[in-house]
Amino acid sequence: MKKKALALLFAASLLAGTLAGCGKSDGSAAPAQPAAEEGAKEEAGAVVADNSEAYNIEMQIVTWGGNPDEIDQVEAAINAIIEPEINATVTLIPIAAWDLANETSRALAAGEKLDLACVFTFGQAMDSISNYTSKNMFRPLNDLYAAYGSDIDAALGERINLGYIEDTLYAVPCVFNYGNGTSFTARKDYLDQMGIAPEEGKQYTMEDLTPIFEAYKQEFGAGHYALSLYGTATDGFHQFYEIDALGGQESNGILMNAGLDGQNTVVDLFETDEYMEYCKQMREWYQAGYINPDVTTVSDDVTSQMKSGNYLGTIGSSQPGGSIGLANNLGVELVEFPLVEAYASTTYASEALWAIPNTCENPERVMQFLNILYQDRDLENDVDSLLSDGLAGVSYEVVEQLDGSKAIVKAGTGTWSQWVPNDLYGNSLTVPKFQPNEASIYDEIEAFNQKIVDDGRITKAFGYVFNPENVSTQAAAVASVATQYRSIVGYGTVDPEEVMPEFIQALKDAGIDDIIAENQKQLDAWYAAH
Amino acid sequence: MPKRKIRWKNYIPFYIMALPGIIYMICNNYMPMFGIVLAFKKLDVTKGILGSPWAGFKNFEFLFKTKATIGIIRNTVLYNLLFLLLGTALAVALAILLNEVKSKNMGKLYQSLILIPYLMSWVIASYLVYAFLAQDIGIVNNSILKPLGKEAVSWYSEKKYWPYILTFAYMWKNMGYMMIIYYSSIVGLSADYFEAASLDGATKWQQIRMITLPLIKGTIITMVILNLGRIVTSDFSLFYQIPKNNGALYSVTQTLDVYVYNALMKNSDFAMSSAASVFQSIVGFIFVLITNAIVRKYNEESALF
Repeated sequence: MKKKALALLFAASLLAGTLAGCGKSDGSAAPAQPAAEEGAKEEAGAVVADNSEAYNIEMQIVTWGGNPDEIDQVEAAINAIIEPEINATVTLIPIAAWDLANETSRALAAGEKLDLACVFTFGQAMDSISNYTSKNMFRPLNDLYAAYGSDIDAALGERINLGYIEDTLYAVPCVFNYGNGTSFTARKDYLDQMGIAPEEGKQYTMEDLTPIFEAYKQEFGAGHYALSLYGTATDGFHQFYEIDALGGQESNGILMNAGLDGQNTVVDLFETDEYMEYCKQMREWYQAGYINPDVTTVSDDVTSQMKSGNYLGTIGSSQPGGSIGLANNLGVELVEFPLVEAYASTTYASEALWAIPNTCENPERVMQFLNILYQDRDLENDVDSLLSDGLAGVSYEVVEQLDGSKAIVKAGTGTWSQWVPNDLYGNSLTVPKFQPNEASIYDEIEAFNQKIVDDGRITKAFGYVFNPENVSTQAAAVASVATQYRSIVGYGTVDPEEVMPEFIQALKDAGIDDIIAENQKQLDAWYAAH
Repeated sequence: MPKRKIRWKNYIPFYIMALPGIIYMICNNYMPMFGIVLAFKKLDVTKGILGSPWAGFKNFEFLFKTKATIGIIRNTVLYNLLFLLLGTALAVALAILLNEVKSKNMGKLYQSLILIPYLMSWVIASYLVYAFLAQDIGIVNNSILKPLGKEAVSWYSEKKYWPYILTFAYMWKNMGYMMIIYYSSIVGLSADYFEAASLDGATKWQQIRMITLPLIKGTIITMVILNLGRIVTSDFSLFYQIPKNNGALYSVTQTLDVYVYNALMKNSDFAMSSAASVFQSIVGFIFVLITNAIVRKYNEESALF
């Protein structure tokens, strides 16, 4: 494996060597006309007058592992809209979500042409801008954003802060739900059989779930597990407690209670009492047989596990219309037991961010293109709807047309909705929604986001992203230790009282205290600047 | 002087014959060595590898950052030594046994059957192992331990079984391939020796001990030296896939490659990954030199250089 990596690196280095120079000179040689104009919409017309060749924007598309059949049609439809407007075309490059971070790093290290890179954080810090900026892969966007980003700014407002590292804007986040709550999502048919239903308006705690699990075990017996978990991932602590992961990995330090109580101290998650409580509860559930004894070994995802019919439910984020995807997939009705009330943090609000890499030759056009994604247009001209849901008549059939690009749709003959997540592009809140969502979904989303703002459930460090560059050695060592212990203490397969001291010591040896101190220092500086 | 020239010319056809191999070696083994530079750099892609600032040994630090490192290196080295010793012994034994199979067709059949696991990916092998060892649905717990009235074992969280499981899995998969090299050198031995020996009344065991083993000693030593070069490089897939990267088992399953993967997968740090590779290569190189020196001392003909 290592040999191959070296070979790749060498090839990469040759290319990087030659292209690093090109990138810069091309940048300055690129058509400079647009720079003079002001106001995004007006100058779009001015570019058309320029007779130079259309600039091809190579853009990543995130998929769940497969390529949609109608990708060429969607590309053509987008080009038909944008070519007259900004004299540019797009080439869509589908990449599986789990390959994305590596693929972007590799392509950029090799100096490959890429104009629009996706940093797919998935609302849980799966990736971070700092992974790329530490290697100087992304272009600073401050000037371009000021020149061409007026519609982005109108759509995003405050949330543009998510793309900053210190004073430099490196990426533009998509418009996504402000925050997230969590819930235990369970099969209604099984619950009905046991005569259980969620109490109206109640926020459940871990203890409150125990009797439900107990009842399920009694009713269905051995081989049935109340809680379906994807145990090869990190643990589910953040599903039960409010935390602010500060835009990075939880092992690099968090604010407990998400800093909603005004607390500004960055702490080591694994040393907190809350984490211990969580682990003890998981242990209790594990021993009582509510969790599959092979939880850390089963590599089926939650959907496949639930499909087997041997599970009552799972724990995940809760948003308007959030469980409809899973329900459609399972073909059963689901109900939610709310756990954590929705709140906004850097991690939750940044589902995906779009960055212009240093290898891009014409960043002006790319920023103009990005700006179009955030404009509110009619469905047939709405580029972010095309990227999110595919082509009307192929990827979906419109059931009910609402104003602008909003519509309720049902599945068409294409496979776009099967493979492409629909909340990563432009303003993801106004793209068409699939049945059984109803027209009211758009209002529900708006109310959901408004409630977070009204209730003041926005973390104080909203927009802050930790940059682990200065402590990268420690961060690598800590990441390895955390991977080792989290899945076993976090899913109850071992006794936390026994293993936790060992875990905490291993983290200290790996240098977690340096990371926490660095994180605190950066956060204090960030507070001072905001 | 003229004599030398002629000798050199005589070798030209051999060099031409070797040319594709040499070109392959240069492209695949020598050119990537440039990447070693990266291990000492703080990578900045806009400046390219050579233009990036030097970082000294900073990229190597994470390898020695945790206390677990000693355990990780111990695992890597001991597993490799075990695989090497046990593997060589078993492979030679198997090759000799296979050579004694008189029916040509059966010999071919056995050979193929032994080789098949080698062609299987570790990912598939990991699911085979899982089918046996899963706690609630596994074959061992349900069909073997249960009927015997024994309690089910939680295989994926009990460390003590894993050195055996991993060794078994490795042997099961690689035995056929290791065996082939020895088998081919045994097949190549002249039948005259064995005929002469049996005329003199040597038993099968004596023939093996006195003729076969001494004659393939050179092959065995070469193979061992070559394998020692990879003493700190582990079979990543074996140690990652078979235990399913289960944290509970790390203290006996984590090797250097798995550690590097877990530490760097999330932030694709190319400089640190190359540092790990450089470390592995240098230690491997030292091992080769030492072993070769020892072999040369006792038996000069068998030494590689």
